[in-house]
Amino acid sequence: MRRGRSTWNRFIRPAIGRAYVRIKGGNREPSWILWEIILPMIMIASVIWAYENMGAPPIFKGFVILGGAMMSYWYNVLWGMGRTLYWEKETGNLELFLLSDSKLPGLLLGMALGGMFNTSIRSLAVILLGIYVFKAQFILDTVPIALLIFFLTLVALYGLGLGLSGLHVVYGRMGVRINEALDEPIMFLSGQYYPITSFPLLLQYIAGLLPLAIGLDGVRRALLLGEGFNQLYLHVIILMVLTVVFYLLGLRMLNKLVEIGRRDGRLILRWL
Amino acid sequence: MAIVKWFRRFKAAVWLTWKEQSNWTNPIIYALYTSITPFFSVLVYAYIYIAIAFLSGLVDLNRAFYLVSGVALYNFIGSGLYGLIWTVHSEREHFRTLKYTYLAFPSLHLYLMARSFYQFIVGLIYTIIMFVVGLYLTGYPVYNLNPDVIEVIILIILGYIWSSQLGIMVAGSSIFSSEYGPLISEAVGGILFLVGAVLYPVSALPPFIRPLSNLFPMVEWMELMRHALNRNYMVSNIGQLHSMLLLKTIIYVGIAIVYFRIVEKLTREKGYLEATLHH
Repeated sequence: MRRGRSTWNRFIRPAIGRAYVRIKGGNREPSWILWEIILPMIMIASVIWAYENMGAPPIFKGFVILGGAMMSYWYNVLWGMGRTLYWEKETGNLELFLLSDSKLPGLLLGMALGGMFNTSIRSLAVILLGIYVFKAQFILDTVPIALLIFFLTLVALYGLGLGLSGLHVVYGRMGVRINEALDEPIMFLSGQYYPITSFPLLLQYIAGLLPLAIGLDGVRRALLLGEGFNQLYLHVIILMVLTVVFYLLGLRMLNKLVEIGRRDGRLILRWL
Repeated sequence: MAIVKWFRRFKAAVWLTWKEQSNWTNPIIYALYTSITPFFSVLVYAYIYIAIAFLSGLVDLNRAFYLVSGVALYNFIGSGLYGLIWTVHSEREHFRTLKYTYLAFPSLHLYLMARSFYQFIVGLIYTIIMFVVGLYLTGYPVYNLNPDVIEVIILIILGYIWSSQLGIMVAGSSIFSSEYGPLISEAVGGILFLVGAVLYPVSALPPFIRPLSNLFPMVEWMELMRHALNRNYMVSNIGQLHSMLLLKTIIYVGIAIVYFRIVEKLTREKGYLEATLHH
C-alpha cells in the first residue's frame, strides 16, 4: 500500500520547488537585476532631489531610501504571490497543481520566499547605492531590532498575501485591478516617502493595520533615529499580532475563495 | 471620404481599448477604480510637501503649486505613454492578438495612437482630480489661479502629440524585445519624471544630468502648462519656450513616422509580431 505524503511534505516541498523557480526565473538574466535596481532608483532620486529643493533636513534621504526599498516587498512579495498565481492560471499550471495533493499555501509560500529573495538583492543594492550616491546615513547599532521588525513584516505580508491571492484565482482580471487600485493607497498609508507621524491621528490608526506601515516606521526609527527594543517593542507586538491574525484570516479567505472557484468552475476559466 | 474612414478606424480602436480596460466590471465601479489611483497618488506626493511643512514649519505655497501641478500634469503624459507602449506588450504577449490586429487594421502607427488616445483621456481625468485635490490639501488658494483655458487646451493637444510620438518610438523599439518592452516603458516614464521639471526645476538636478532634459519637450510643456493654469506662475522667455515646444513636437512627429516605418519593415521581415516568450 502506497504511503500518503505527510502534511508537512505537501506544504514544504511545493514551497521549495516554487521558490526555486521564482529565484531562478528572476535572476537568470543579470541585466534584469540591473534594470530592477535602476528603475526604483530613478523614483528615489526624484523624491530626494525634491526634498533637497524644498530645504528638507538630510534625514529625509534615509526616509526615502528605506521607503523605496521596503515598498518593493509589497509589490513583489504580497502581490507577487497573487500575480504569479494569476499567470499560473492563465497558462494552465494552476489546474495541474490543484489536481496534485500539494497544499496551495505551500505553493504561495514558495512564491513569497522567491519574491523575498529576489527583492532583497535589489533592495540591498538600492540601499547601498543610496548610501554611496546620496550620502544617506544609517545607525548600525540598531540593526538587530531593525532586522527583527523587518522579518516580522515579511511574515505578516505573507499572511495577508494568502487571502488576497485568492482574489486573483477567482476573479481573474478583476483581481488584478483590485491589486492595482490598492497600490497607491498602500503607498500613501505606509508613508513611503515621509514619516507616518505627520498624518492626522485617525490616519495613523488606519496605517497601524498595515504591516508595511508599522514595519517601515520601525525600521526607520531603528536605523535613522537609533531607537532600540525599549522604544520599539510596541512595533514588535503589533506585528506579531498582525502576523497571527492575517495568517488565520488569509488562510480562511483563500480556502473560501478556492471553494467558490471550484463551485462556479472559475479555476480553469481564462481571460475573465 | 478618407478622413471619415480615418475617424472610423480611430474610433474603433478607442472603443476596443475602452472595452479591454473596463469590461471586467460595471461602469460605476470602473469610474471608482479610475478615481482611486489619482486621488491617492496625489496624496503621496502632496505629503512630501506637507511632511516638510509639518515637521520643519517651512510653508511655501508656490512650491506646493509647483509640486502638485507637476505630479498632476505628469500623469497625463505618463498614463498615455505607458498605455501606448504597454499595448504592444499586452497584445503580443498576453492576448496574442497583435498579428491579427496587424492584418485587420491598415496602419499599426495609427492603431497605437488610437489605442493610446483612450489612455490619454484617462490620464487627463487623473490630472484634473490630482490638481484639484492636491491644491486643496496643500492649502493653495484655488481662486487665485486665473487659467487661460484656450492655451490650456492647445497645450494639452500638443502634449498628446509629442508624447504619443515619443510613445510610438519607444513602442517600436519594444517590438524587438518581449523581455525588455515593459522595462523600457517604465524607464522612459521614469526619466521624464526625473528630468521633466515634475517635482523640482531642472536647476535642482546635478549638472551632469541636466542636458538630458533638453532631449524631451517635457520641461517646456510643463512650464507653459503651469503658466497657462496659473497666470501668477511666472516663466522667463515664454516666446522661446513656445517655439522650442513647437519645434521639438515637429521633430518628434517626423522622427516617429520615419522610425516606425523602419521598425515595421524589420518586424515583418523577422516575424516579431508573433514572437512571444510565454510569460
